[in-house]
Amino acid sequence: MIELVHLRKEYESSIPLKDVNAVIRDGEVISVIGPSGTGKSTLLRCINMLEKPTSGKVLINGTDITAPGCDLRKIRQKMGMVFQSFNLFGHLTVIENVMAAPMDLLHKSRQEAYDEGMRLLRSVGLGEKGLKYPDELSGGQKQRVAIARTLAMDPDVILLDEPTSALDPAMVGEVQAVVRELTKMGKTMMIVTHEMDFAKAICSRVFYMDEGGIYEDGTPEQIFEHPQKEKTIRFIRRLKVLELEIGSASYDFLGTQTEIERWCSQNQISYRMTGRIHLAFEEMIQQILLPVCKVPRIRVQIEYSRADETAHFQITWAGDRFDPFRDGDALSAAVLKSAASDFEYRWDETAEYGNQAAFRILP
Amino acid sequence: MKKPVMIFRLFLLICAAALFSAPDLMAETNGRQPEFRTFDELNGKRISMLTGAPFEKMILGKVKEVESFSYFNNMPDMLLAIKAGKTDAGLSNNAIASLSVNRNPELMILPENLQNSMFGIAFAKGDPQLADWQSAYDRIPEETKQAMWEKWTGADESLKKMPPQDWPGKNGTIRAAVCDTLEPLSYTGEGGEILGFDAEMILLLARELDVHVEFEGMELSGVLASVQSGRAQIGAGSIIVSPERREAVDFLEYWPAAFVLVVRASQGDGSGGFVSAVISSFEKTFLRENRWKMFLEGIGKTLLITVLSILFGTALGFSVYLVCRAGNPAANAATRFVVWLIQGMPGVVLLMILYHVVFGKAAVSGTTVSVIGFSLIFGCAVYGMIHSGVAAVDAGQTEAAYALGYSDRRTFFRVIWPQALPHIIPFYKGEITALIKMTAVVGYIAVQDLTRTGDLIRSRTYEAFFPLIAVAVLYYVLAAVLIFVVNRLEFLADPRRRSPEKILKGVKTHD
Repeated sequence: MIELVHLRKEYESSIPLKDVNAVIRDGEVISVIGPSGTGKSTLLRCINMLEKPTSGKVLINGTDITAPGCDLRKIRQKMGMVFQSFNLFGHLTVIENVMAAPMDLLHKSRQEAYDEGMRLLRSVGLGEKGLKYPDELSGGQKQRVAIARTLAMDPDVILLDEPTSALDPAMVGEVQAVVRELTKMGKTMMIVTHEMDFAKAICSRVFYMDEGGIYEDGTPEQIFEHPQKEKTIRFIRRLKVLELEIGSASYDFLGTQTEIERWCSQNQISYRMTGRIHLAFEEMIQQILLPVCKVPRIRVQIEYSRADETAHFQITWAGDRFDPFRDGDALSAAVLKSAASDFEYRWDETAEYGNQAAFRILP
Repeated sequence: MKKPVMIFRLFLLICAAALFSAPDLMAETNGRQPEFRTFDELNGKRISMLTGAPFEKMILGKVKEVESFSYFNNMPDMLLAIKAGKTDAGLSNNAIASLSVNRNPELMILPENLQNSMFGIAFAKGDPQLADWQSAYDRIPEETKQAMWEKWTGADESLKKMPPQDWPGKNGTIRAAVCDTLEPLSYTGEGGEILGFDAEMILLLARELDVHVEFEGMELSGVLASVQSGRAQIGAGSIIVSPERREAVDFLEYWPAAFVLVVRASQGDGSGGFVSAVISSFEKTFLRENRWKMFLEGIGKTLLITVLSILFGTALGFSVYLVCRAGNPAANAATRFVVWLIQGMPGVVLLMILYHVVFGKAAVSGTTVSVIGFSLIFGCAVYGMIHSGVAAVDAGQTEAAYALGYSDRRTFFRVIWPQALPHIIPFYKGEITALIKMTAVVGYIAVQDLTRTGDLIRSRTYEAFFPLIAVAVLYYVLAAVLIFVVNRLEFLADPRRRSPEKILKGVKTHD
C-alpha cells in the first residue's frame, strides 16, 4: 500500500505538486492523466524518491521513505520504474542489462539470472536479442527490454513514466501490448500516459492531475464518461472537440491543417473521414468565408462522435449577414454539399458572432 | 600504414635540418687571425650575450655603435651562432672564451678586454665558514692555480680528471651547488660527475679544510637560490662577482675574471666535405666518451619521471574525484582551489617552488620533486577529464540504476564509470603526450633528463644538429611507446569487444 500525505514539491521556478494526498491499494492499476506541466512525472518520481519531496510523506506499507536514514535501496528494489527514454545501460548487452541487478543486488547466480532473464526476454518477444547492444535495437524493442529489466527484480510496484512518448507511432502498439500483459500480473502499477484510449482500457483507477494535485480521482468510467469537475470536463471534452480560431486573413493555414491532422489521428478517425474533414474545412473557410470577410473573425468547432462515426462542424463568424450555402462561391458550395449534409444557417443580430452555420459529415 | 608515413616525414625533417645547419658542420682550419681586432672595428656589428646579462652599457662604452644585441640562453648556443655568422661577437668570460678558442680554430678572442673582475665562490650571507675557506685559499701557491687553469681551459681532454676525495674528511661533508653546463669551470662529465676548474678548486680547498664535498649540478640560475635557501653551503660555476650579487651572497674571490668578446677567425677557404663533417659530428655526439650512454640515462630518467607521474597522478586525480563526488562542499572548494593554483602557473615555476621553497631545506632529490610536481599537474588534468567524462554520461543512466536499487557507489562503478571511460581516454592520451614533453624542464632543478642530456652534449661538442634531432626523435619514440601501451589497455578493456562466450561465461544456454 502506498500512501501520499500532503506531498509537496517545489522547484525554483515552479511548484508542480502543491498538496497531494492519496492511498493506493495493492493491485491497483492507476492511469495518471492531465495536461502537460501538471506534475504527473514528478509525482511518480517522488514515489521512488528520484525527486526528493519538499515536504510531506510517502509511506510504503507504512514505512516513511522520505525520512532520513530510510534504506531507499531496499524500497527501490521492490519498486520498478520504466522511463520515457528507456535508460538501458549502453555498455552492457541486452541480457546483461536484465541480469545485472538480480546478480548485483539479489545475489542470484549467473545461471539463475540468465535463465530468468531469457524467460523474461522471450515473454516480451525479444528472446533472440540477448547478445545485442541497446543501440542496435529500435525504440520499441529498447522499451520492452527496459520492462524485462524491471521485471527481473520481481517488484511489487511498477511505475511507468510515459513509456510510449518517445516512440515512433508504429512502435507504440508493441509496447502497449506488453504493458497490457503486465496489468494481468496483479502488481500495483502507476502509468503516466497521453494515450487516453490505452489509459482507459488498462486501468482500474484514474488520477486526473491539475492545479498542483490530484484534481479528480475515480474509475475510468467516471473520469472519461462522466467527469464531475470543471477542468476535467474541459480536458476530456477537448479530447473529442477541436476548436479553432481564425483572426486574420494571413493566419497559419499549414499549422491549422497539422492540428486537424493530429486531432484526427488522436481520435482514430479513418483516413477517408480525415480527408473529408480537410476538404470541408478548406472549402468552407478558405474558399467561401475568407474572401467575403474583410477582417475575418471566425470560430470553428469540430466534434467527432465515435458512436455513429460522424463529424459535426459548427462555424460562427462576425460581420454582415451572409448565408454561405446560398450566397457563397457556387463551385465551393457544390463541392461542400457533395461531402457533407444537414446544412443549417442562422442569423442572430444580437450576438457578436452573428452568423452561425453548421453541417455534418457522414461516413 | 600510418607508421611508414610518420617515419618518412621524420626523414624529411632531418634532411631539411641538415641542409640548414650544414655550414655549421664544415669547420675551417686555416687563417688564424681574428676577424675583428679592436672595439672600433666592431662598430655597426651585431653583438650577443647571455639572457639576463645587463652588459649592453659596458659594451656601448667601448663600441660606439652596435647594430643589434641578441640574447642566448646558454653559451654553446651563442658560440654556435657566432660560428654560423648569425652574430659577429659574443660576450663571454675569459674562461669559456679561452676554452672555446683552444678547441675551435675558427674562433678567437678580441685582443681588447671589456672589463676585469673576479670569479667568486658563493656563501650564504654572513656565513662564518667563509673566513676558514679564505685562509685555506691563501695557503695554496699561485703556480698550482695557474697550472689548474691551463689544464681546464686547454683542448686536451685526457688531462681533465678530478682528484679523488681521498682525505679523511674529519670535518664533515658540505653540499656544493654548482652549475653543470658551464665548461670549463663547472660541468658534467660522461659519468654524470661534476668536472671543471671551479670544482677542482673547491676540492683543493676542501682538502686543506679536511671536509668532503657533495656536488649537486644545476642550472646557473638555481645555484645562488640554493645557497640562499640553505640547500647548499657553497655555490660555484663561473660566477662573476658583481655588486648586485654581493647583496644576495658573500664571495670567496679565487680567480681573475674578465669580460671578453669572442669573434670569428678571419675567413679562409672552406675545406672538408659535408659527409665527413656529418660523420665527425655524429661521432662527437654519440660515440666519443660513450655519450650514447648519457642519452640512455637521459631516456631512463625522462621515462621514470613520466611513468611515475602518470601512475601517481592518475591515482591522485581519481581519488580526489571520488572524494569530491560525495558532495562535501569543503572538499570541493579545496580541490577547486588547488586545481586553480596548479594549473594557473607554468610547470617549471611549480617545480622551482617545490624544489627551492617547499622542499628547500629537506634533502629531497630533484627526481623526487619532479615526480611530485608532475603528479600534481597530471592529477589535476585527470580530475578535470573525469569530471567532464562523467558529466557526458546521460543522467538517465544514474536514475535507472538508482531505480533498480543500486547504491550510489555501485552505480558509479558498475554503470557510470564504464560509460565515462570512452569519453575520458582520448583526453588522457593527449595529456600523456603533453606530460612527456612538459618534463623537459626538469633540468632547472638538477635532474639530468633527455633534454638536459642533449644540452650537456651540445655544450661539449659545440654541435647543435645531432643532439637536438636525437632528442626530438627520442621524445617521439617515448610518446609513441606510452600511447601504444594505453591503446592496448583501451582495446582490452572495451566491453564491445567481448565475445559471446565471454559475455555468457559460466552460463549454460540450453540452446
